[in-house]
Amino acid sequence: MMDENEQMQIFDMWITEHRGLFFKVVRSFAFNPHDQEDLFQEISTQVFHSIPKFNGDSKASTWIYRVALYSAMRWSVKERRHKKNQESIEERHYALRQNVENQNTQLDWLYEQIAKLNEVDRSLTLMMIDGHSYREISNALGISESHVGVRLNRIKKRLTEQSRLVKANGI
Amino acid sequence: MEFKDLKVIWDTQNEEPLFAVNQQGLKTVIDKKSKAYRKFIVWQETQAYISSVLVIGLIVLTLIGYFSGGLERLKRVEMTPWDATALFAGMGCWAFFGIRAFVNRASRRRREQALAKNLLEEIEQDIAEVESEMACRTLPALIKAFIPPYTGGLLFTWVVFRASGLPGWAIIPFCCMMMVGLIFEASNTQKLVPNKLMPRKRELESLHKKLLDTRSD
Repeated sequence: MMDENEQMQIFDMWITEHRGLFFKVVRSFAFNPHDQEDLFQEISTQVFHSIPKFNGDSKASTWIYRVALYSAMRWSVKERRHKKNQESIEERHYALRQNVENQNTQLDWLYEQIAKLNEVDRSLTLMMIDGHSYREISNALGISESHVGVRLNRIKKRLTEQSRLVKANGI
Repeated sequence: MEFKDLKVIWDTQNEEPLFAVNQQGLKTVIDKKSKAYRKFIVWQETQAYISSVLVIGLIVLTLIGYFSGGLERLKRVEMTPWDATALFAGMGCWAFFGIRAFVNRASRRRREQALAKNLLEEIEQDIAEVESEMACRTLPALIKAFIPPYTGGLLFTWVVFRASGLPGWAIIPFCCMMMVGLIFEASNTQKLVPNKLMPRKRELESLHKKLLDTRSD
């Protein structure tokens, strides 16, 4: 049985090594600072609690993606139901701060396109664009490799077509 | 623009992270949420144990008090073997209630620790969990769950009333009160189904459907 200190040490290591992954999922599923903070806290908590279940069969990043994506999918469905968060901003402990100087219009556009996809396509896209193989995506999500391939080819095609259409935006 | 160009744009955020993390704040949040969750679970689990121990303790104390002469007021009527049987049956009802809570807790822990191979399987496990919680909250299931402690309570009260020399009909208002309590408790527990469990099940089913839809492409 893993003790809480050991769990926290692993979590610290994961958040240091894979923080980009957390941010990408947060930004793809939540679209204002309040929601991003809320989702980041939710994902972090779920990842922390998932640590004792991680048996090393997959890469840590694939595991974190799976946990983070499931948390984000559930959060976004739940969020639509309970748009009004009862906890006031003053009562919250802030864990996330946006780096406002790092504005990148091309990246903003890409996130906008990803946000237009449904939760599952968004998850597939995030894992694919972050360099995970079809097999890893298939193992993490439970969809066969061939279906992952078919779906991702469509998404890639759609994204490249959109990028050609919006050259005026600087892409 | 080709997909590889989009990947280059995507990778720019690896050098310049979009956010900064307040590590201490994050730890506080996780700690707070974990504590709140643990508190909730402990409260849920210990309610049945505490009430069982309290009632069984009360019955045992009554028996000791009666036979040692400590409870003189109860000795107006002689205790019959039927009274003793009723008290032991009442204890049995409460012990059954406590043991069942313990068994349910153990099986719930086992289910929680079961490792899903992938997201789809995890969603299926969660749906099964919600369905089992809903099944526990149907009226017949609730009545079945509440009958042992209520019967135990009623048997104990009946013996105490009889031993105190109260007339037999005195138990009737008490029975009515317990019935109202049972209905109130069952309906309160049932409210969780439409308010929390059904929406949760629908959310999970919608995610499950979306994942399965990728197979139909």
